[in-house]
Amino acid sequence: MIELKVLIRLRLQQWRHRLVLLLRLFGYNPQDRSLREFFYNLYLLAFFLVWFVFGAWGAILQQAVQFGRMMSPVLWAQLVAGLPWAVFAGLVGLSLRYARRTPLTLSFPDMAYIAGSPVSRRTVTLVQFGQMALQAMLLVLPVVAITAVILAQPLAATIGYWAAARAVIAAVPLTLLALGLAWLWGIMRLANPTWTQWRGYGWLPLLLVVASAWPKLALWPGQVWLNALLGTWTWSETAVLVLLVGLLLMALAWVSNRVNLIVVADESNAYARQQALGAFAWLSPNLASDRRAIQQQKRVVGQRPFLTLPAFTGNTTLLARSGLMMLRQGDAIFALLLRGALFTGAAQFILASSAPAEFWLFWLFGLLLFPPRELAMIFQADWREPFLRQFLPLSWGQLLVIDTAVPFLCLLLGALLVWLIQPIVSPILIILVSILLALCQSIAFLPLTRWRVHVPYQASSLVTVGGTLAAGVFVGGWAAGAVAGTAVLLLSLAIRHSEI
Amino acid sequence: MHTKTATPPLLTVQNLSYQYGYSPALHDLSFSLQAGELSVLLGRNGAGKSTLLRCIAGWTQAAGGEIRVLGRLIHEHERWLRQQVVLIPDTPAFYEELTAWEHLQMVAQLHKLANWEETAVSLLTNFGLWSNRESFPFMFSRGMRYKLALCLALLRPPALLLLDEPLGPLDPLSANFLWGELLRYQTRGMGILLSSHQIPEGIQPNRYLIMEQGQMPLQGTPEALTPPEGTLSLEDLLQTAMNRFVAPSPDHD
Repeated sequence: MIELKVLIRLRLQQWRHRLVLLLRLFGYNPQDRSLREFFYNLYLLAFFLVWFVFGAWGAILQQAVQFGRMMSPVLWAQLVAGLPWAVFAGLVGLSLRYARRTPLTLSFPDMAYIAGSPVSRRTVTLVQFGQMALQAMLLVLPVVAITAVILAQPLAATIGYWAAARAVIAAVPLTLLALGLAWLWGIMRLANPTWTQWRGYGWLPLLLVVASAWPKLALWPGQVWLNALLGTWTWSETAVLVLLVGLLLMALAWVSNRVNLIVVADESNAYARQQALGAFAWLSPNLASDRRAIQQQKRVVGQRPFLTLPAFTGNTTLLARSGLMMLRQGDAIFALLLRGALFTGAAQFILASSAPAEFWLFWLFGLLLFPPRELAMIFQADWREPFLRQFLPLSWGQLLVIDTAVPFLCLLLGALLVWLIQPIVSPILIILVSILLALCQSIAFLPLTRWRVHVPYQASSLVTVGGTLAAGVFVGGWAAGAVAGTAVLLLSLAIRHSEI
Repeated sequence: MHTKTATPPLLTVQNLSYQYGYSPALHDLSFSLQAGELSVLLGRNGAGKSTLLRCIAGWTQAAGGEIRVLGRLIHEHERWLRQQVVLIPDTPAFYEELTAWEHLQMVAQLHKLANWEETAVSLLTNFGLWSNRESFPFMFSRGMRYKLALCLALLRPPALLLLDEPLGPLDPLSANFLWGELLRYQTRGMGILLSSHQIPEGIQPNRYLIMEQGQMPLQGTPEALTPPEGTLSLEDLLQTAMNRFVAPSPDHD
């Protein structure tokens, strides 16, 4: 019990330390105990509550309500029918993920002070499981709430009033069920030395797919959630769900005491290296590339490289290199195709449904918050390695064009595939915006003007893509094309005259 | 055969200075290097050797002074510089997604080198990397990474090769091979400037450049630096440089 207390206290302190680091960005100073600082902290809290909780969250829910009301009965029925399958797919996917890699992860200090200590493995596992469950819920529950609000709109007022609350409550044990099952797969492997050697273990959770032969069984977790949303849930199914979660947690506690922490430490190496980059490494574009490099190393370590660099000469070699590097990155091509398809699909949906103008704002925020970093992935690799740069006899402008060509084509292909299904947005505009995104991603690395200013992707894309959208919404398609074309020209000129 | 007066020196550094923020790293450095010369850069840890090499290679921009390669100012001929100068840092980095062989292949194909495979095989074999040619360089040890970097540089030998601490990470066999290769390329006219604390017996550099706290208080040929009675030792050179070092006045920028 004392071990549990110590570990929980340690994790809470680490969490507090990260929170303080984040709050420092807003001017919070934990050392300052003055009355002025106290009032400033109160102001920060009030600002957060008013702006984020009441303002931003309220606006999101309002948009969800609008979206739900716009939805046709056919679409609603399709979504309701598809949701249990999505829950089942999530369950299998999560189990597959943890059957391949350790769910229990250790940072370098953890390896030295926790794995190296006689602390019970059960305590370590359960504390980290609890931590992960809390983090997962922080992400999952808001998404569940928004989904529930959307789906609840066509329901009768008496049912729909508490629908979101019921759906969120039901999502708690469901999240624990999914995580518990996935962790059990992973922990069982770590507890058995022979299983850790067996590569086939990673595919074992696919056995769960067999359950799809009995749809009632496979779709039961999703159906429980849907019943909660529709107000038709019963005490018996709730009790079964809670019992299942309890059993899973007990099994996890039992198995986890036999976990081999040497295997855990070995498999946690990539995680530990990422942790060592710092708590907010994901905020820095340079550190983000370090994180990607660590992930890439983890992906290919010990594997034989597939495909080879084709025997071209001159600059074509660089194009071939881009293609090969993208293919070996694994998910880079898929991520670009998906982004191209999603953003084009969303834009076509907004246009086709004549949605309010603020939907374009969400579209833009999506583009800013989830930047297509893969567009400048190769260029960034050339930028950050001055040693290798010495062997590339091209100017930065030429290198940028060659390095971004293959990723750009992937993004464009994804976009054009969606466009082919329903050609609404002008293809010229799709091409121009794709070029803009590639330029905005690349320009972030280049020092501009004699003061060597670096313009972040978010700033350049907000101005250029935002300007294109504004012109399109308020003036028309031709104006959007003109703004995008001008922006492409200006960004190209800025790159040409960058101070490298 | 061309004369020295007709061709400019391979490398000329004049009044070079560099600062990390407000902290001066290099101060008023001047020296030159002729083609076919092997110069050794000496200095205690933190003396500014790596910074100087990075400035010459164009990896960082100097705060003052000028650097010329074959008479051309490097910051005005950035692309041309890449054809002439290669710096191998103490820990070279590579692409995560390409194997060792593919790195060599990329450089050779990009520069349209003829019969490069033969040279590549010979370099990899002699540096003991042949069996690792299909591996990703991030799995290499520091010494293996340095060897691969040397293979890349020697596949297309530059006019000026800059080596930062080349002997630290290398095993004795590879170090011997490297010295042999360097001397071979030196006789063909390649200029070599390397920073090192270990010079094997039998290797006589053309010039020593000794740095101390960002300055170069001592430089010259081994003959000029050898005391009248006694032998030349690296410890003595460092000590003399320390004694000659004059801290710049606070108002000196």
